Amino acid sequence: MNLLRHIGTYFLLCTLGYSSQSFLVLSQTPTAAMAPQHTGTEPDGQHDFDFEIGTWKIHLSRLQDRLVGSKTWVEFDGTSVTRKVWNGRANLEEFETDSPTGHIEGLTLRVYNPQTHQWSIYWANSKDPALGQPIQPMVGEFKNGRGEFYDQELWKGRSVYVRFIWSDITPNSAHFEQSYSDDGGKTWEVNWITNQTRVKDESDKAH
Amino acid sequence: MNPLRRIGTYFLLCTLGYLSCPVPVFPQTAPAPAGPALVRDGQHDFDFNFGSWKTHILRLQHPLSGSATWIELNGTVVVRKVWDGRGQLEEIKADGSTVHFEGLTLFLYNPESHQWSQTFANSNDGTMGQPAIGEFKNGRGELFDQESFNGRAILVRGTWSDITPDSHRFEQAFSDDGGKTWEPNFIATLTREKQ
Repeated sequence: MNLLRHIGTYFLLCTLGYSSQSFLVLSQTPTAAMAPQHTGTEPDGQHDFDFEIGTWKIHLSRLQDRLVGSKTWVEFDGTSVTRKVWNGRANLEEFETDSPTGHIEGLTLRVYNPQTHQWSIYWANSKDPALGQPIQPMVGEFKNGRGEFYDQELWKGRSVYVRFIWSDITPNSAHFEQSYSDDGGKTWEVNWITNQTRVKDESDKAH
Repeated sequence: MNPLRRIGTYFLLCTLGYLSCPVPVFPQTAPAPAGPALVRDGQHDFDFNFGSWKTHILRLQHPLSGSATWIELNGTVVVRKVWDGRGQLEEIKADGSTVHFEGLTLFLYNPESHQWSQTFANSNDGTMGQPAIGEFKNGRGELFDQESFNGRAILVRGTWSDITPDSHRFEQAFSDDGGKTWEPNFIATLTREKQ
């Protein structure tokens, strides 16, 4: 087992512990404390990632460079395995794909927050030079079968918004895209697309 | 002082330190890309803000709740140069019928990314918030970040507009749908104080 993976997982878990205290306690609006709390009428999204549990064949198209107008895509093929954690309120995905020019080995931890009804998604790449550093989660939720998750990151030193979209979800397939926005979400450039097909009917009952 | 806040600050600083390393996981090149939008030097884009101002503030009482109750405040803003203009410090004092508001904002220009950051602290908690980051285009500045509001992650936008030598406008808006729609919750109209 790759040691880096161990380290990555360890830091993922640390980051999670940290994120359970909202790192953005410093809302600019002093009225935050007075604002109405959630009513409990929001849909429970705890099972929104259940579709992802199991083993998948993955086809990945990755834009060669980001936010420079590149039209060159690199194609990867591989597999991904997602396991339930905490009876479905979290899950862990191991992702491995290859192209003639590269190999990507990744890890995704997804955790549901029942208070906010939002999922946090942490991604680690085993070759990331910053592996083991705190990871910024993507945060968001599913609406009408489509999941959207956002965060703000640095790309080549500039602050950009990042968006994940999960869509076209069927029992045996799903579509995923990552996009960057350099203009506050007005326009988005897709730079990572995966289409996945279920390989084994691994029970979602597996824990 | 709330220990959670302290921890929050500590982690913010860690996060900042971390952010100075590239976040995305794929090979990075040191120099910024040479896109036309990135070349422009924005170092003087906040110069309009230096000086003393009268401010009229409208603040939405309960953002993202569908409420339309606004609180009105009036006050003063004083902005001083830091680092010969590559940064500035703004002090805000304003009063409403039931509230007193005292804040400061640190503005810093990053000449490598050509982006400004705007970081706010309210004297109520004396803690710097998440920086909003962005730039000016065609006389309008937009800075963005992601924050937690009532525990939920939302996007935050600050907009500087209607800039004349003696007046300008600042608006803060929240988005709970990834930037598709924005709800303004803080609108300041500023007029230069005559010496």
